[in-house]
Amino acid sequence: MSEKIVIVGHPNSGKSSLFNSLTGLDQTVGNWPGVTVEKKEGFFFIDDNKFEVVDLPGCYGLTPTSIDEKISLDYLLSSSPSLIVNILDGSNLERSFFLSLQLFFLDIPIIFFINKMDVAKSKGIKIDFEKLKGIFSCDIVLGSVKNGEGIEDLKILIKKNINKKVCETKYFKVSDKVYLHIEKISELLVKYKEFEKHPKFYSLKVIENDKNFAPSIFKILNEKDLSKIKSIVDEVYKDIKKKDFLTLDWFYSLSRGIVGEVTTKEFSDKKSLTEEIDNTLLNKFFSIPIFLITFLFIFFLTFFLGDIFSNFLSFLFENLSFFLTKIIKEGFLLSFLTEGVVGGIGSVITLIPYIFFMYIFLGFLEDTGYMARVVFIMDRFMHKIGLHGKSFISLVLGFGCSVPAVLSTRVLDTPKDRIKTILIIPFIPCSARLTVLIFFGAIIFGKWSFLVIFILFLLSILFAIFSGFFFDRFLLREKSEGLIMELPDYHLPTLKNLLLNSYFKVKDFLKRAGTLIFFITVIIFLLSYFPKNVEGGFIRVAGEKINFLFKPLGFDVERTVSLITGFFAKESVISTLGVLYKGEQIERVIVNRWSSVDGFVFLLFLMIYLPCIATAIVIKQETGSFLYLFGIIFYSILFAYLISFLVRYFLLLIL
Amino acid sequence: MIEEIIDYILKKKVVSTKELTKRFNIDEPFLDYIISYAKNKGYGIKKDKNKLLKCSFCPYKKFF
Repeated sequence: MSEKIVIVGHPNSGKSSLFNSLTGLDQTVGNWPGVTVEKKEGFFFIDDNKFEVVDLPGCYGLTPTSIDEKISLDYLLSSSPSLIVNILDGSNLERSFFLSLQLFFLDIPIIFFINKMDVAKSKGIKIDFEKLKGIFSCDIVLGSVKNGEGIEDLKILIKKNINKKVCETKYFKVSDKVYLHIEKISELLVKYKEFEKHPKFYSLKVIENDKNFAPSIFKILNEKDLSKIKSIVDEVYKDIKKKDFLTLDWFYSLSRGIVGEVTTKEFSDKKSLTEEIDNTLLNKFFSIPIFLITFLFIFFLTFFLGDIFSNFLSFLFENLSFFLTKIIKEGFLLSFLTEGVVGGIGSVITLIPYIFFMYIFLGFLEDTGYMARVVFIMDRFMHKIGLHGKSFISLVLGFGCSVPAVLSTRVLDTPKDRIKTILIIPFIPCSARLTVLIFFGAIIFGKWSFLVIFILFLLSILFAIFSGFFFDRFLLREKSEGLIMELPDYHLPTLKNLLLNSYFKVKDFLKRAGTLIFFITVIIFLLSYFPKNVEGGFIRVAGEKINFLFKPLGFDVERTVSLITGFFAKESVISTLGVLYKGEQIERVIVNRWSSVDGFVFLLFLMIYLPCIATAIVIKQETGSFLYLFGIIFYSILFAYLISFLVRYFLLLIL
Repeated sequence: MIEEIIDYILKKKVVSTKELTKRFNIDEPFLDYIISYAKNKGYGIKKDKNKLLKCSFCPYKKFF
């Protein structure tokens, strides 16, 4: 049987990175707080022992103030893990110990992993390891997940500490009377089945008068114990005027005391490198131009490098198709292989170089800490549309994939903020959509494609802001709160991490290409092949029936059908066109048949209309309402149609 | 210290985040947590778009 280990820490302490280092998995990691919004599970082996690892969303304390903090606490109370790996930020120990001290009350063995020691060192912070060992009875590892330091030591200690006795700190006992009263209450609570696992935690909640716990605890207690507990609580608060913050203050003063005892800081008048860089990147006048130039440059590099390899892959598939026609007799099998497999899936495979390079560059921005600055830069626009500053974190995640972006809205405080953000996310071009745009852009616009895609990228942000303004003004009006966000220090990402990140994305894409996209392609092929006496098969007949709707936008039957399959996975737009163009090379057909205006309008429609089916499912799950789901589907199609229509006729007039 | 922060907001009625973080040597995410905690306790402290903390109502809550 495997043992369960839980990773707990405050937001942006490096929990997900530690989880990935221990398990070898590729969970999303970001250099900003709030990336993990639900628990993630994995496992690893030490010798022959299997250890299950659970990565919980970040929390500042054990009094939940948001959904993600509630998820963490509920899990800790209900799952009874064998060990907590408490990850602390070595460069911000005060806040880390604030949580650590509260974790002691769960009566679960703990190991401290003090992360970001490299950052602490660069800030001139020195930690006295021996003094720290003297304060806490648990094992402590100093390290840096980013550099792989301390991971092996941690693994050894995990094995040693499983189900070991719970840890203590001398600070509780010598500090003041609060702890003594918690012990007295827990002696009474431990008799009850409901509280026997975590009696000290529930005692703390009683003293804190936490509205999430105290009323239900009092309901279970018998009258005798209830009156005893009330008198203990009265004793705690005797001569104290302000009762609401006693425990919070207690933990904070203890953590400050510990930090004062174990750390020393070398003071320097010199500004840190991060401050120097931020002075330029977050400058009032330069921040937006730098942001725009950075993304323009990224698109340029993605096109430049991706094009070379993509052309090579196209050449390979063209030759493969030619080779197949030589060795297989004309008929269903040849059509299936050349039109379905090579034409459909082959076209999708040529996307890989773009995906690979785009993730390398976006990963670079994310790991350095610049993406968090983008949130800061865009904060003022967020307020214009009545959104919480934190919403932009979800929107930034939306550039990767809309599904985790929708899930990440759980960190937002109010339901209206959440729904507004969820409704805007589908307008942010996800990586799947971007790569499809890049693929078509490269064919239609040649060397200027990076500029066209950059314009489409900016337009999508503009549409998201407009939609946010529309929802705020007419549907979900609410005052927004200011952005509270910690800007992480700049890091130089390692090439290994960037390559690994990109590799996992390509792997994920290939998995989708081999399953969902392949399935759609086969269906489209069969529908286009049968009945044999009708040219273009069923799909053409059906496409012709609805094509009148899209005629005003200049779309032919093939493009109309591909937009429908694009709802299942955006990449299948390419494979569908590959199949429907009947084995002809998709690049050649597009160059010959599509005008630049029609191409641009098609990309515009593709960028705005409908999220994919996975996003639609998550929107329903998170809003709990079909109204919002169908509302956003209807709105996005209508919006895409109107914008594409207007842009097409405007371009035809001026060109 | 946390009680002092809350008292300071109540006393001044309107106070900027920057002033609080400087005065109490505390970082913004943690201040956010404290404000959320206070809200859970029934304190009507809100943060507006200019990062100003305002207290609309701060009732005395009786135990039990």
